[in-house]
Amino acid sequence: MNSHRSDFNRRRFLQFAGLSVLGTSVLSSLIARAQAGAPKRLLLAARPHGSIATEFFPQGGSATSFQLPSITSPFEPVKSEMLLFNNLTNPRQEGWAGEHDVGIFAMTTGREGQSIGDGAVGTGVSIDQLLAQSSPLLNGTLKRSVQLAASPESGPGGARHAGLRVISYAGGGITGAMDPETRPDVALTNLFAGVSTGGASGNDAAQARARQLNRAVLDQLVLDASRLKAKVPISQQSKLDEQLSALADLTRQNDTVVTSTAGCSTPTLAPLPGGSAEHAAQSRAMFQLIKGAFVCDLTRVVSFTFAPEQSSMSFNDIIPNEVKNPDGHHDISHASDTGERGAIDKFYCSLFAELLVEMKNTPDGAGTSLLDNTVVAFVTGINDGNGHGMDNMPVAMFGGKSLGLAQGKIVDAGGRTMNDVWTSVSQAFGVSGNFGDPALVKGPLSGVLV
Amino acid sequence: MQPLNAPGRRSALLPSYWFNLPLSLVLLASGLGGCTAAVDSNGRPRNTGTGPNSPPIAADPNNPNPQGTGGTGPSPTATTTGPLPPGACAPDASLANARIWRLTDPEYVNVVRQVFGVSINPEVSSAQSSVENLNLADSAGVNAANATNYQTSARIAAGQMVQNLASLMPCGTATPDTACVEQFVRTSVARAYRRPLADAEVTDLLALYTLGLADSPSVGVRLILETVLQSANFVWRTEIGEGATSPAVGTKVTLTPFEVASAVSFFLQGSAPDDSLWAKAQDGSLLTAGVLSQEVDRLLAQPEVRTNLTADAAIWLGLGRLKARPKDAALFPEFTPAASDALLKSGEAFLGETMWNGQFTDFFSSKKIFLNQELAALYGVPGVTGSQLVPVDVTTAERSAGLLSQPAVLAAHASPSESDVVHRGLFVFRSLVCGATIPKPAANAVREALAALPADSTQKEFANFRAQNPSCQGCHSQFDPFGLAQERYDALGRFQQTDAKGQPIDDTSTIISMGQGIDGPVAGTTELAARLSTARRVADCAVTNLSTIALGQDTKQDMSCALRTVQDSFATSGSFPELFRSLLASPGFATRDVK
Repeated sequence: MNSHRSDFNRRRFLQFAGLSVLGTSVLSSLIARAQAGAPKRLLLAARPHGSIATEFFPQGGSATSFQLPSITSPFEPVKSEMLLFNNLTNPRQEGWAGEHDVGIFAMTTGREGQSIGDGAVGTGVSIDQLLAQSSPLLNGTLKRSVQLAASPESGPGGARHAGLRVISYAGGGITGAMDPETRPDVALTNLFAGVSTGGASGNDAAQARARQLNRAVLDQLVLDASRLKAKVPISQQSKLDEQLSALADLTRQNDTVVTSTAGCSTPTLAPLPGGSAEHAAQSRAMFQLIKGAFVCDLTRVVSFTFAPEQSSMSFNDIIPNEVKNPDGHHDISHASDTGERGAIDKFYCSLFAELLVEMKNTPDGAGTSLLDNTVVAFVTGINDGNGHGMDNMPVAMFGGKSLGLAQGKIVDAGGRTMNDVWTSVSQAFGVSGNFGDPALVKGPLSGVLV
Repeated sequence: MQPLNAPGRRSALLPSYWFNLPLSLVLLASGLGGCTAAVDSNGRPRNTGTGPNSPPIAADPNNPNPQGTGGTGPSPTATTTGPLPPGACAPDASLANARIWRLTDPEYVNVVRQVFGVSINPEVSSAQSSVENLNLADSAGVNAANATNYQTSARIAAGQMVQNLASLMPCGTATPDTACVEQFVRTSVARAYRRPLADAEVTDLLALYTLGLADSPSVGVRLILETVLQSANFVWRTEIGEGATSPAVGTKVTLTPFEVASAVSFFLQGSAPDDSLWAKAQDGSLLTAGVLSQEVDRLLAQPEVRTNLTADAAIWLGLGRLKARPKDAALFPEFTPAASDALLKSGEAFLGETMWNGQFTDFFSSKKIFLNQELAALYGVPGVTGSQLVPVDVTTAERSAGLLSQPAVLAAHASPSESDVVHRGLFVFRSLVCGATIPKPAANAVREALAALPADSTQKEFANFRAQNPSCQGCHSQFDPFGLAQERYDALGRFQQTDAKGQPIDDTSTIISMGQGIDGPVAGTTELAARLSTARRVADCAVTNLSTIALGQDTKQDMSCALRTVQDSFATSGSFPELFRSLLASPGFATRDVK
């Protein structure tokens, strides 16, 4: 039943997105290249409130020879694995309402979302979920995908716009919104509980027994949901189908033993410090989990959100030398003084660069790094916190060399949408067809893939 | 059995969803459209639209229901097939559809505490989910992330519970044998599932116990608990009737006594049925109208239940916007976080006082405001000391409009920096008169409109611009007039005579499209409140909003005679306890339509 369900979901996703898995088409060589060597991954990451164009994009130089300005300067160590875009548009039609919320929804799904006050919903499927379901390169791991966020549980910017932490959507409106896990310790348990320490130790025997007992629980849960499904009206059965699908995933995870190797081990997380150091520490803890999950091949698809798209987190304690204003990020992003909002975006770039450098320095397969085997997209919902525009989006991509992603250059998008970039990325993962709203996609964007 | 305690059942942050989500859902279903008149040419809400389902006719003191649709006699009825004639209702329609309805995380926590005596982490299905709290029946599912979190929560909770097996199991300190475990399943697990278990279900859980017993009795019980706390039988409330198979579309099911008990208890108590409801579900007596009414009355007398229902009213009236849309601290340093917290409590206290010690008309005429020393200073009311909120009868005219002159309400629907014609207008339009669906304007259209006037234009000047701009006026003419009438109150809800430019404030406007009794020129909040207080449409709208929360289903398009009867009753009594009693004891509450 599980495989049938997976097939059904996959077909449904593909049908909805207008995509298809590449067979022996002209791009089959892409797949062959991608299938060789280490596993391939996708990391979709978002930070809020856009950026400042003059400090994000290189000012001068050429498409392949450029200097990174202030905000993006932390990416200097991974500049040779970096892909920037000139004049890239967030998918949007005249008449769409909403800004931050609909902006981040469109960025990852390529479609219109409806504001629900604290987030957006719609029928769109985000690029990470689409590829997790449909790419032959991303299947077969313990978890089909993982969603993480580093915004705090409460306080400014956390509780207030929690819905805008969501960047992964499985389709189907509200219930398709995939809330990210913000607790590193819980995420650690959820991800690494199945990692065996190897050998025939007593510890392994205990783990095997725990799996056996948990399997019995899961079997009962499937039975309970199936019995209930038989009694509910047809209109309600999809709710239980979704739960059964989730239980199938949990069962697969329970039954899969990942043996620890020299490279793969369960991360050791330091306690979160609280206070002004919390946000960066929480981000770094999530980075440990992302890297660890990729190295252990527990999942090949991760989405990560630094903070909700309309975050009001205060930074005067987090980076006191750069930000004196006690207002939240959202208010500062609307300030005419660009210095402090630039400092906040640079803070996020600096943090994210730490993960990218770590991935670059992590061997992964023969002669390749973890970054080479991972397509990393670093996105946001609007182009500029003050203007809320949707053109010239400050998006950067990294890595993915083994998947054919162009490296160390600036691609002129000429006003085309992010959907065209996602269409190219889909091709790299062996999935053809256009991504997102058909009216807002033209096809693969030249220059994204080599 | 633990005493019921349901703190945090409702979230103060809900109104931002409450205002937007039903609208969004409607837009998703129907596609974005332009504004249409809320009423037809006769001043009645359009049956096929999104207006309330009762006519917007002003109450006549001698005949509160001029169409004869209630009060002293039954409403006119029609069949449920085909379009209904204006003013008619569907006699056989239930108040809600047959469905399953996922527990919210607060409900989950409450049931665990009530049944198993353990307090667990409030983040059950997700880390601070932003969607589930709205609690419409179709708004939450169990996706992969939720299932993982349920697993984690269940493991932690079950581990906590088996720490003290003696207090958990009916056999006390004795090592549980099969009979003891079966008794536990048939009693405690049944209360968690809110229904007796079938024999096969008992057998299944006993088999799990046996599996774990090889390790220890504690492990065996833990396996049962881990299963129960993740089971579809636990996380979903059922409203599907007795049948063993899927009911056919187009039919109607009668809820079981246990389902009725749950529907009542989750709405009123935010948890599973208490001992009294459970006993009356077990003997079947709950399905008799008299017994159900008695149970509802018993519960409505409980302070915790009143607190929950007051919180529901706060959701309906958008008080949570005080927190969701905080004031500009630079402009209003006197509006401290403590003042903000106190103001929210002040609004809730007004609602509680009016709902449980007053009448619906008090919503529009009360002069009572709950203040502490800090708030009293902020709003210029003398003679209040201390940090505790106390009721004050404010004698000035600007505080004589009940809800509409409450500082909490005025501040909640104002902008962070100034008064807010649009959102105060939308508040009245959506929450008090149940106006038609208004599509959000395109962001670029808003920007263009804003760019057309100087940035320091007053609210009135912007409103005048919208009234004259063809692309704005279609929608804004329906709700801006309500906001203009509230223009004499600033962002904090303080009374003001002049605007930011020092000019006298004009709070006159002309209401259109709301029907007889509401339409026409209006000057100021007190006059607006007086007009709303006598409009049948407003009383009906209160029922529509509260029944939507009770039923977990948008009732704006509900054409059932069952809901009409509740509206008729409320229009006559003006009593909130009567509203809840008539809703929960309605024949339409005990059935569900299969769609």
